[in-house]
Amino acid sequence: MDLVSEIINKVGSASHDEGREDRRAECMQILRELLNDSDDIMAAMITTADGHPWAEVLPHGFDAKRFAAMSSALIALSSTLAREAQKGKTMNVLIEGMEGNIYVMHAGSMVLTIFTKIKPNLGLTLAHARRVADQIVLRARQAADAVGHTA
Amino acid sequence: MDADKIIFAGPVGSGKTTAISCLSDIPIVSTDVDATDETKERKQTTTVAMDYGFFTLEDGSYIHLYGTPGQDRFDFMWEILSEGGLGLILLIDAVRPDPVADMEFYLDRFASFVEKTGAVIGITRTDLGNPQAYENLQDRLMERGQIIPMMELDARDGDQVRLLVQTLLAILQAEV
Repeated sequence: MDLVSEIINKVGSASHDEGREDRRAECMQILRELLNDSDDIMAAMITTADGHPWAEVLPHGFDAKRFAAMSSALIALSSTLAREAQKGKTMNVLIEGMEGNIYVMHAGSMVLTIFTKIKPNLGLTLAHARRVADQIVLRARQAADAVGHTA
Repeated sequence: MDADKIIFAGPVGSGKTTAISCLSDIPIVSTDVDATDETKERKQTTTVAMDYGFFTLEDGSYIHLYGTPGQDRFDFMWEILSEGGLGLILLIDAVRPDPVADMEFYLDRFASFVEKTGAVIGITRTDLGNPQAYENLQDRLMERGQIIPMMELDARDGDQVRLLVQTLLAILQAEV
């Protein structure tokens, strides 16, 4: 189990409920900033690799629980395909829809899903998303260090 | 026959991935990830999209084996994977808190698929307790007015899993 799940598990224990909520609020803030920074990104969510919602900024009508499960299934299957086709570690899964795109990517052991408007700037939105994924991993590492200090 | 795939369903930890692994002619395609919820009290990883394998029948034809994720938040995968399936193998873990409720849950959720095709039930982990599981499950099936072949099995034993698959194929042929 990698660092991100580890820290979520640690802060998820009863005595760390507050830390868990802080971490979630922090992730929400990162997502809100992402939406502010990009005109093309209209919604974003962070989920656990096994399909539970963790933090999300979604419009009304988007079902976080359902989309979390779908994101984890999608990236797991894509990663299996890439691995078996000897294409290495999966960076992103891109879905190009007529009404907008969806990007799903790993953020440590978490999964980041981005929903764009119609005809987005592909490179720019992906770069934004990748930056956020890296940020999530970094924050998790910092939180792990913090828990390490207090333990 | 053009539809040649079998669907494995059942709760988390009932042995779906294990059963497909020991039956498949190839190393299975799996989508296991680390569990972050109550599942990890039982096992470290869980299937989030599907398991896939196949095995060859005596006449040389293939049977594709698809395992579904156990948790109902992945129910969209149940529909996707069931499409065009021959029949259902439902694995019920005898030592979960309420195997009868588990069986009813999956039979209800796969009702339209089972109605169109057929099903068999395998009761797993009976070596760990609940010797009445078979009887309790049979009783409830009777009450529901359903006749579904049922057997206890060790999902790690290829011969036992093969017997379950052959039973399913036999009832499907009998229905034709």
